[in-house]
Amino acid sequence: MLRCGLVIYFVLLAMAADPCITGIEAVKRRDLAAAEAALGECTKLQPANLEAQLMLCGVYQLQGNAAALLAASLDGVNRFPEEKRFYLTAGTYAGRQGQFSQAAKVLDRALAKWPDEVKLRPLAASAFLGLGMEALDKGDNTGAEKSLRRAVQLAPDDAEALLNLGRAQHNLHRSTEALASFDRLLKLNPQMPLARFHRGLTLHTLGEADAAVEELSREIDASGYAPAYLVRALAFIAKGDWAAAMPDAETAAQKLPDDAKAHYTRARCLLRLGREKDAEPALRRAIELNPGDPAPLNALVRLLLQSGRQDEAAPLARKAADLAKKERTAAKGEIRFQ
Amino acid sequence: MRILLLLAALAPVTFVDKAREAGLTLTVINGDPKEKKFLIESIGGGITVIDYNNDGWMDLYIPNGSTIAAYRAGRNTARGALYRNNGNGTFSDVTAAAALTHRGWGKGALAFDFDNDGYQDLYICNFGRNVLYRNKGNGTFEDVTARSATGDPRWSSSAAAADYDNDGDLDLFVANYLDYDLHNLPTEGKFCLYQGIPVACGPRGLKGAGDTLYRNNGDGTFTDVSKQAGVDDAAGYYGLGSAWGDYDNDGDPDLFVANDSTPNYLYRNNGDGTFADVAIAAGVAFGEEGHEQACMGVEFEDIDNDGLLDLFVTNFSEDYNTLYRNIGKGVFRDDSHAAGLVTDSWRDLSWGVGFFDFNNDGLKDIFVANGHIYPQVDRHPIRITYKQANKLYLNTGGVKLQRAPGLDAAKSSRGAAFADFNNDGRMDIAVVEMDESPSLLMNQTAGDSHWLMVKLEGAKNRFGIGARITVKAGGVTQTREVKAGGSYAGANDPRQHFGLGAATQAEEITVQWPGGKRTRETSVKADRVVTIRESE
Repeated sequence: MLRCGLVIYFVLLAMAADPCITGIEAVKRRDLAAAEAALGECTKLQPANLEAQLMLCGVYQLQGNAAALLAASLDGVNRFPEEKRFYLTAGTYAGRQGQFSQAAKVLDRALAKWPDEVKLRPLAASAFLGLGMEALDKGDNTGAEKSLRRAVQLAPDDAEALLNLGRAQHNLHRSTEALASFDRLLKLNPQMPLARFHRGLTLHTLGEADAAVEELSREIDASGYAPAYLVRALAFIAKGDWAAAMPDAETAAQKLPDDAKAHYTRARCLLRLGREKDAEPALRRAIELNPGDPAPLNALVRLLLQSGRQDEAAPLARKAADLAKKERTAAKGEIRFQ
Repeated sequence: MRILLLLAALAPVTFVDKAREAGLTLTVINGDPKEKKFLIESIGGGITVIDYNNDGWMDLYIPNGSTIAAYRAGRNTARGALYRNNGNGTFSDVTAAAALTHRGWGKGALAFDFDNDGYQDLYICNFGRNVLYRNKGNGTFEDVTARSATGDPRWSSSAAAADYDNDGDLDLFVANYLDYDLHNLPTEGKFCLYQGIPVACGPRGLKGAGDTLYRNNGDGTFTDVSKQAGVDDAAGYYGLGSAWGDYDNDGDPDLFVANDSTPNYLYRNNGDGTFADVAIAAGVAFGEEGHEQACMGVEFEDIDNDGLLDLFVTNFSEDYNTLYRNIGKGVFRDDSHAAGLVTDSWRDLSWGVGFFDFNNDGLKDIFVANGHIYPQVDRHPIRITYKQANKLYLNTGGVKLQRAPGLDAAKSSRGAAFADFNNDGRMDIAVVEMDESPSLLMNQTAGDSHWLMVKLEGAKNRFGIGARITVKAGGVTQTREVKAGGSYAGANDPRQHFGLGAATQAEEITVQWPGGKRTRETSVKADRVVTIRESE
């Protein structure tokens, strides 16, 4: 009797001391704080305990503790690389927390293992879209193009991914590819906001001024997007139609008061239309907004020289020459030799 | 004017490449034909028209390049070629017979009579020491580089000659490109990418070479006066094309230098042996947008028959070829947009250029030779190709140029030289092609428009370089200035061609000679070469 009692005592003691069991019990009781503590302990003591790791993730989910859930699911990915649920959770929560790089990495690994898993592709596409957008915002066009290309590969009908892939390609001077992306996008969604603007901008870059004007006009009609006026002005200039460019340049300068290019474009039109007096303040405003661009400085220097104001022009000419020189001079290591 | 325009519309300009039949078979070498990893292999050369034997049939000199391996090893096997025009549609390679033995990495050539003996001499621009050959007048040349002190040792792109100091003999300007070491070539880095594609490095990031002005001392020697004249290019811009022209009509030649990826120079001749760079004030340092362009070739001629020399500068792709219209008072206006060039030339990388009246309608048209410098572009879908079609723009009298069809053969062209090779009154074109034999575009335009070819014989400056010829015919007044050098690294027919449209004679031809003398001839019958001599 005494022996039996001792066995029961020790079993109960052992049960009470096993954090894994304690954790499971706590989950049953909905005592999430106790469950978290016990299951945390359990996963340390029994790293191969899949059920405990899953439960711990469940606890964090119930607690609404996204950071801890992400950490636990990432831990799960490392410790149970064959368990799909950890990848899905980690990918989802990394994406939700804006950790697109982490999300893309985990989901790409998962896709390599389970290429036919339907839930994975949209999640991964969304992660790569986020990663691409992040890079685009930072000006890393190469990184953006790579991520967005992957996003489009995973979700070929994702209009946002296509739009931004085109933007990155355009920024990388890969205009033909950008045009193909915008064409594909417009086929999917002809009403996609800003698609016509970016396509028009790309057509302008490719020297197709007529097509650019047409496309930008559609964007202006649809949305009145201010930069579309600026680019349409540039397209009219490329065609030599300065009179048509002028009102667009005026609108762009009004709608984009802090945009140096808008003011410079307006100044170019004014100069060409013989309104030198109006052009000078526009040039000066463009220079003020972007003092690093030698182009408006050069235009101002030319204007000053042609109006006999050599003394004013000389220091500006030197400044413009210095700026241009910086652009074409290699710093150490920027060019290598055999 | 309307009648002339109608004629132009009825007779499409037709060129037929007759190079093979004519025997122009020299393969112009420029490094590795497939990869062109280095700029020295990409920047091809020019071609010059020369009537070396004064027989009235225009001959050709084509400089030749080399390969990096051969050049480094000092065993340059390629040589340039002098082709004698046989007057029957064929040419003969007379290089050896003419004793043109030099072998270097040729980039450009200029025919000009530096010793005023009435025979055109030959200056060859090289990567490495340039060479001046004196034409002995007996079908042979002698190398007078050392004696004349004209052997600029740098990477020279082009040369142009004019009598800038008005002393009766021709001075020589040499545009230089880069300070470039074949034993330490640039290989990779920020300045070696084009649209993300690894390509030859430069010129950005590399050091530019200064330019040289050689003053002719009149005794067979020259003096380097670059610095004192103010044209030494202290800024180290990347000089490619060059041409002299009196843009301000003050009677002395001014100088335009087309610089690659750096502002152009327009040197106004001060008349005292010095020059002032007025390019910014004149509006030709940069394109209209205010950015420096990557300029290659240049034409300095009157496109709109207003008696003022206009400028045309050929440029890199994704930019436009620039037509600077001289609007007087020393100011030019970039009219490329209205001319249709911004959109039409956007994908072209252009080199040789000339204003000539190819359909004899009384209006000078524009020919542009095209070809990209990166063969690598063909492996990427960027709508730009290494081989590109050349272009002919017809001048119809308005601001807008009309692109003429027919020039469809795509090659990677470089220099272009213009002459009436078969003396039929229609201007033909010789074009240098990268890593293949040249093209000889014979003008076979139908129609019965009339023409005149004016040959000058100056009293001292025997070819009348710098003279301004004005022809009045059929109610149209045209001018041409006689030049030595231009297009891209070459020179054209020393005779001046005028299309007369329906007019069967020129009512008046006036020659304003350098130095101020004037010659006037009246009622000159069309369709012939007319020689006008300067009085002693």
